[in-house]
Amino acid sequence: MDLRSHLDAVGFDRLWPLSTSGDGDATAGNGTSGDDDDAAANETNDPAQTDGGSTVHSDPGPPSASGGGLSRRVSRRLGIDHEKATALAIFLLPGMTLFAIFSIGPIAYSAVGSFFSWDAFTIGEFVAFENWVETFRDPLIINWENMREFRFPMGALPQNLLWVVIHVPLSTLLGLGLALLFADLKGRRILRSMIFLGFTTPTIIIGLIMLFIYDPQAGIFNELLRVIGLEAQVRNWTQSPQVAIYALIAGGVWVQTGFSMLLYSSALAAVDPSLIESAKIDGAGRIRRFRDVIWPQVRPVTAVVVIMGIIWVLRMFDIVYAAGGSAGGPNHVYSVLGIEVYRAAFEPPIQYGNAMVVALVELLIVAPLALYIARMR
Amino acid sequence: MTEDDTTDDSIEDTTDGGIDEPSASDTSDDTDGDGTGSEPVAHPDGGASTAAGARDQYIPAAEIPDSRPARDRDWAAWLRDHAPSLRRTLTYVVAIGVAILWIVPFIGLFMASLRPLSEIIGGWWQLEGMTLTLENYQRAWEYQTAPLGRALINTMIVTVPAVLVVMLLGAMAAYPFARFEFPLKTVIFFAILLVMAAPPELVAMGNYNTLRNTGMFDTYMGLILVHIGWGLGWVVLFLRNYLLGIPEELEEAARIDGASRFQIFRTIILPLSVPALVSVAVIQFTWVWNAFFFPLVFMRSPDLYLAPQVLPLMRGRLQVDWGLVAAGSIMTMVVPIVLFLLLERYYTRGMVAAVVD
Repeated sequence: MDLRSHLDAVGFDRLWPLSTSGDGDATAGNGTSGDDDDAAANETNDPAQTDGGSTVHSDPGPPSASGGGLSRRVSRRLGIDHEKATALAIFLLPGMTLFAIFSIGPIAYSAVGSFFSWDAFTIGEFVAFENWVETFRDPLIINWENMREFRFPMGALPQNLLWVVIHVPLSTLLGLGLALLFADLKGRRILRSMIFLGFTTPTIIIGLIMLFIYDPQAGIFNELLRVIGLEAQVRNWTQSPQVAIYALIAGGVWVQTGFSMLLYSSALAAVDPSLIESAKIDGAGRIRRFRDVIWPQVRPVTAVVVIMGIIWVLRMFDIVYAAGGSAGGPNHVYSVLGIEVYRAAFEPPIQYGNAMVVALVELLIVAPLALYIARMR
Repeated sequence: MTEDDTTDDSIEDTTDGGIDEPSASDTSDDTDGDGTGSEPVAHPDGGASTAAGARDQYIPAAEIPDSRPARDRDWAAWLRDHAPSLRRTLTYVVAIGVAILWIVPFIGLFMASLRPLSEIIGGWWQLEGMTLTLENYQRAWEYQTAPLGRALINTMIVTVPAVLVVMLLGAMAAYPFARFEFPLKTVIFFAILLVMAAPPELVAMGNYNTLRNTGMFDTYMGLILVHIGWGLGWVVLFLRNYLLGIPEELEEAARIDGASRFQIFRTIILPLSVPALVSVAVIQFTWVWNAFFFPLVFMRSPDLYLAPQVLPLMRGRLQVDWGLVAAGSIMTMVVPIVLFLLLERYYTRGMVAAVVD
């Protein structure tokens, strides 16, 4: 794409009507067109050059520029282009280069690498979907047999999805409930900070706290069971295969409720109190007021809360690692996708291709959600 | 006027009690209602009492009764009016109860960090014969595999540059995103969104090979760069949204005065975006400080371990040494939590803005 026609298309002159730079010979065409796709990158060849003209791409101006005084208009525009492109390059390049090398690049690398065979960390030959098929047949990712009986371990993917299904509604509802509860109390900032504390704590510590709470002797959860007379239920919850995942999900909900409460609180604060007041005067009860006045204004936030919850759970790594190590608990009973990526990529036997596939599966689940948020804006 | 006041108060109380429906209104902040409530005009009933008061003003001093008029409402009615405020009290009790329940695990962690292992095993909630000791902290600080003191310094060495550089480069990149059109803008925009949604595990493999090939594996520099690359996405998006809210006229005025784009950026954009930059700093700091996965993958020598990395090692093999783990955890988490409490406003605003718009 050509920079100038692009700028014309977006009404560049409107943005910078007072640009002072100008130059004479911009029409001198030297047809540089190496990678015109990236005008910013193109300009870095010579960022110091300020007199415009000679290095700027030439082309026969957009249709709108045809007519009298074409050369002057074109040159003026090209002059602006050049100065602006230099500025753009200096502003954008340092950040975007790092972003490309350490974020975009690795994602593309994984996307491509998932179709190749790997010898440890060295890329081998193209094997098409072999890694993908192998990964989905891996009982550690999906264990069909156990899934039919709903017995753990069911594989990292179903377990991670189960985590989402339980965690997200719970943390969303609790967050909304607490936001409503605290909404007009004195000292609500302190109360909110108390709930939010878990979210600012390193998640690895949350995992260790889970171990601590569920410890058979030192854990307060088991003490609670003893007090209410469920002595028989006392156990090391994080190491009991069939219930451990629920114990950890409770921990995840505990932490993330603070986050959803925060989002809901800010949405509630934006609700005009006079609306509630007038609803009250019209005789609307509590439930009615919530349903018809508050909820419609808070609802858009719910989508964000739910999606952030899903993203958060699919990224889950620290809590599971702290509680069950890189195996994801005894016999992988609460392994999640992140754990499988780590194990496949960095613990022998190293299966780099499979790790990439699992990580891409995570991305494929959340990417549509991110686009949905983007479309909402 | 006593009569007036009581009437006003009870009316105010009634309304206040009624608002315990979550309205998030700041109006209910002054619960006693003396501030706003004492303006009789505001109340439907108040009109009558004002009129009465105005008339009373002109009666001769001798005719003023010695005692105030009898209450026109008995205590039962008074109580009925105050019934909602009882409900409000209940709301407070529940709210405070829930909040305390929520931090019980942290209280437990704190207690455990201060007590010897034998007492923790018996239950940190047993307060009889409690021994307080800082021994756990000292042991964690000098933990033999990887001393936490060293690990905390390492974490600081990684976190501070990662935050500062992200702030600078992020603000620089966000400026064109907010003000100019340029090729690939939409593409980069969507790439940023994609990265924000992507799990950190996805970039681990590529970065692992990159760092190995460049010799930056297992160095501070490597981890810092990974954090910067990973954080830039959301920072650019966040600051762009913020800059869109700054009126362009300011910059145009500066341009008329002949300022260059860099001068505009330095003298107008940066100072105006200080609140957003503080938000970025707080959130990015907690994010980098708390990060566990990246250090786990990219830091392999024990003397370079970061604090979150050391904590799971303290678990030990057979009997978990809770005191050690708890003391280490407290020392690690106190940094982001203090930062959060100090700059809570910025953190909260930034967090909401980052995800909502």
